[in-house]
Amino acid sequence: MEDWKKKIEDSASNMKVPDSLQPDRMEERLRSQKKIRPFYRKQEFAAMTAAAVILLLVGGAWIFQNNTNGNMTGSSQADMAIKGSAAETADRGVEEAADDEVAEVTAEVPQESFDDYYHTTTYEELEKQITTIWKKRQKEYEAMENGDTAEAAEESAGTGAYSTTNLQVEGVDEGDLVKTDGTYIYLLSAGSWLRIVKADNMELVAEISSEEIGNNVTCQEMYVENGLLILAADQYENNLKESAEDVYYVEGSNKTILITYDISDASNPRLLGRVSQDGCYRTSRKVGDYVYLFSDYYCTVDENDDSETLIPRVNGSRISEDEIYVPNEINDSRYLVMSSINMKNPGNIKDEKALINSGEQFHITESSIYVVRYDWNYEKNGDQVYTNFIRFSMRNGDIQAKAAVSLKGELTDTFAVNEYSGYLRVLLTDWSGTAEDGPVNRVYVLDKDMEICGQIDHLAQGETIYSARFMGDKGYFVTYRNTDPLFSVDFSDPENPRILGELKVTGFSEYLHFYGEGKLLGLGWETDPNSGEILGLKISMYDISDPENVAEENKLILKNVDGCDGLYKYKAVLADADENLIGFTIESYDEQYCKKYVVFSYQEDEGFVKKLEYNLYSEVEYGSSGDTRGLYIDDVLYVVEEQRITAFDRKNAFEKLGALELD
Amino acid sequence: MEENRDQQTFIRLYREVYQDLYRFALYTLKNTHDAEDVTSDAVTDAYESFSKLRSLDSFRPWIFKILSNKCKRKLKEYVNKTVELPDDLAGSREGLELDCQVRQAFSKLEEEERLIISMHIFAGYTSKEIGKILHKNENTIRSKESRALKKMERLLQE
Repeated sequence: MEDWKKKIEDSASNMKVPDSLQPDRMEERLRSQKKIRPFYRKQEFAAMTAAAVILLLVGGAWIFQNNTNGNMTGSSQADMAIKGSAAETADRGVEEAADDEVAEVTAEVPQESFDDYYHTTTYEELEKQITTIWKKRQKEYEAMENGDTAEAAEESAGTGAYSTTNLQVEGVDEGDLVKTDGTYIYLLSAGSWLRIVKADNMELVAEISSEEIGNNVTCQEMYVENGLLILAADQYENNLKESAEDVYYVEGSNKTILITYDISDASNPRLLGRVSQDGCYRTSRKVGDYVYLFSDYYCTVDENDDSETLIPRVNGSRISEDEIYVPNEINDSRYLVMSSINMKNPGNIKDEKALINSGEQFHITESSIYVVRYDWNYEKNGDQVYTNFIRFSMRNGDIQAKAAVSLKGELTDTFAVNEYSGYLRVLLTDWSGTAEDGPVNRVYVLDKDMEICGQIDHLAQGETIYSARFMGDKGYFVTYRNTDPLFSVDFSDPENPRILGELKVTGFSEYLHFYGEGKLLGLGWETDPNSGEILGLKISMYDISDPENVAEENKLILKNVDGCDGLYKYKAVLADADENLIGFTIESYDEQYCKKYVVFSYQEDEGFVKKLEYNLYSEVEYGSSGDTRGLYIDDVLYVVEEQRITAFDRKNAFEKLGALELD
Repeated sequence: MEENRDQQTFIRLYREVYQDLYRFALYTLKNTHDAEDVTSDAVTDAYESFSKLRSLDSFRPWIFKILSNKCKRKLKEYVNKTVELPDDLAGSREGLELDCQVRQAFSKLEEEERLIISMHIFAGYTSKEIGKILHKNENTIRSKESRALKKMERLLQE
């Protein structure tokens, strides 16, 4: 792949740049041009037209049992369900029968399916293999990027007087850039400041810069709970090394650090402890007292320097060789490093594991970590892409390898993997077929051993999956060709998942969110069913309460919108049915680039009603335009930008109450 | 005074990226005329809002974001246009024989595929950043890119 990029780049090098763009000519032109505008200029925005609400009712043969127990991982129920399912399948072998809660904690040996893919080895052997593969890959090495994609989202309860982060799985907290405890707003600005603002009077009470935390620290995400603030950050270290006598070079390395502060006095955060592990911050979760921290470690092979960098370190010491899982077919020198930290002891690592070949995505419940990675082995598989699912169990900080499987196809949507009652449901799209046939979509149900126990082979043949959402034993999938069918699938019998029905509407939803009882909110694009042309951002409310007649209850089209963070970043969506708040950012590239925060309410009879449209600091500035979050504390809605917090009165037509400007 | 200094800084930074800017636009739009226009537009816009740029280190991704937004707009216009635009990319005979073939194959890719690959090669964005700009999941970007490169390989073998 790198080879092709190089060829394309080379082919461009002869293309002559027109005279008008030559720097000297450009300089002349710019001199005669208007002045550079000041930073905080007032912007004029084109009025956004909201299309009329259209009510669309499409009947269909939908059989649907409304599962009001939307508890994905509520511990007692989930445990019972796991035990129940193990008992039911006990006749399939002794191993399964033994796989109850006790075995989960004490088992040392991963299940058989894990051995098909991974093994542990000695440091010596591992270093040899890593060096070989690193050298092999070095030339064609595709700089794999580090990111926090990966998370499918589930609804947060939102029954309190303040909002919480839009989470993937109930009971499994996720870090974010903005948090509130109902009194204070905690904010990470541009990776370089942790700020604490008293919400009621908008006073900045504490500020910690990343320099105070350490050299070259970039704050990534944080948690706020029970008087503790837990901050995950990246730290880049420069090490001066000697390669020959008097010849020095600088070698950089990335660490992920987790720092815990006592914030019982918010104006005076007190450091309680810190841990570090090699690699760039990937993601994290918090379950009860434990934080699970994930980083990607790219090792470098240094001929002059023994093997110091070959094995990742956690809190300064090498991960033990029996805790590093090596693929039977090793083709990458990247590690996924996982560790757990007990908040009662925030300077120590409870447990650690490493897996060679990191993951593209993670699905993390209260008791399992699923690492999802793609297998792009062209030499072996040609065009066929496989997706590997590797399951680890975790309980009270103990992380154990359990099982693995490799399946054809790719997860085209980050929401297309979800565990319920011990079964993992995944939706994979296989692009290897001919262009005429289009993609093949398959649904698999996997048990705890990552063995396929049920599947649907041809869901929406030839169409592309745009979004997926699971709730209890139901799954909803949106595909798209020219219209948008919303499929519902019943997983109540894991061995026989079946399609319940499909609803065709125009456009397609890219993000689905359960919005109170019997309602599913869709965010996506409206398209012209004939030309496929995008007509605007579409907000839809699907009624999923009536088993015989699921319908798109209301929709609203926002024209001249070119982007919406919420479509691919669930944490950027504020959706709270109890408070009847739907908030997200929209962007427009028309004439002048602009970015706004919009808030809607929803009533069945009046549809979506716009409550707020607020112009954000909409600089085209890359990187620092940052993420925006909406949150509420009692009757006040706060729009939190990197450099500003603005308060609005929910009880008084969202009138602006005030703003705090931050540098 | 200050304005003058800003101007000089801007031109200095522009000098480092202008070739990639133009090539990015050309490879995305395939038309020399439009590529020149959008690049020029983007530079004007960037110049006007230069004071908003906080760190000179982010000049490159910043100006490429402005340019890629302009290119996206243009591509949107193409969809509704009925006239065929000349494909200057496939037609260009500059450089080696292989370069011409690569350009021809590249010009046969879908608009979005060209945009993604150009963003990667000329702008130097990572899949994650491209995902952010195009409002797509980074995995989707990776899949699309690898499929597009596979497609090119096939086209060149024909």
